[in-house]
Amino acid sequence: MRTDQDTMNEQALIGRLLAGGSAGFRDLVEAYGPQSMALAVNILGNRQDAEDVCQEAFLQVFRRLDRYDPARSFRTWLFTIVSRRAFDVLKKKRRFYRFVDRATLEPRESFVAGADPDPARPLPESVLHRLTPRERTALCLWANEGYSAQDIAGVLRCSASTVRVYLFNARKKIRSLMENDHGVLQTD
Amino acid sequence: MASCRRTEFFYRAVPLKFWRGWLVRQHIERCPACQARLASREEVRRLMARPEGYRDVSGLWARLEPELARTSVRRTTHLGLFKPRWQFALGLAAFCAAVGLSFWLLRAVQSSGPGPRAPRSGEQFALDYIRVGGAPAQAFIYQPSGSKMVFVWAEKSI
Repeated sequence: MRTDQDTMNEQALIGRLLAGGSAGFRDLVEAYGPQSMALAVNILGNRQDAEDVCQEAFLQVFRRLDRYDPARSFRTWLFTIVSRRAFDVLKKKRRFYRFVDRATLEPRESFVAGADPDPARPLPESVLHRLTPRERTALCLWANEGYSAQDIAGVLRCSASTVRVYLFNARKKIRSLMENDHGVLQTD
Repeated sequence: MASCRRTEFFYRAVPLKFWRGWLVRQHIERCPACQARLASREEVRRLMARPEGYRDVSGLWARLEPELARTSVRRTTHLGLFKPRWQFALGLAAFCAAVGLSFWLLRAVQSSGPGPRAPRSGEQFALDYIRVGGAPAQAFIYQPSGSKMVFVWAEKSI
């Protein structure tokens, strides 16, 4: 999915940013903000936390841009920061989520995945709770960004084999949810 | 298929990630029957939040802009008068060391210079033993107040 043109644009963007301070940063946020937001929403399951995480991640990028290794993909570096920040938020909120899980025994969110589902909609609760945060990260990068297992391993800092297992488990769980008619996932 | 069932059995039997990863790479990723039992990329995409839904980054930028301005000011200030603390401490220590070394060198040069050596303040004149004509003599030492001159009076003991 990633082309040489993308890499050149990326390097040009970083070059402008290093030369011009915060002036070129808006271009960077416009180029990578949507992808980062989608990743954070898919990991965290809500927009508010995702915005906080993206804000922190971009600030970290701005402050530590001198540490960026141009030999590495900038996108991968940014996604690593976003996913780590998101994992930190999840850790902090784990207790709260446990409480919410116990408290919300009413029917779970149900939706119909029509021809054109809302692209900003977070993962349904049922999927969110069935997948681990690392599985959600791997799945999001695989589906949205077209990353390979090797690329995802760079973001999650684990082996490609581990990523294959994450992807396999996650895709299997989703297929299982789609096939078993629990009124949770329905296609057309 | 038998190979699929075998793979699934081994996958469940050995819960080691590198082993499972190897099985996925060797069989599951290549086998159409196994792939059919997994959600496809398109199906997963339809479930997930996608970048198209977050094209408008003005909200994110509005939150980032003041923080970036603050960070830029801090960065500029650091590059100007006030360097980071460790650099300032290092500079101060180097300056003190240079001053101390210069002072010590100056004193060493002055004290080892040419000419008669002047008695230092607080230095006392002393004689251990005086003999006159091969016999021990009585010695009297006198220094007028406010003068550096010292008189030594030796008298033969009777």
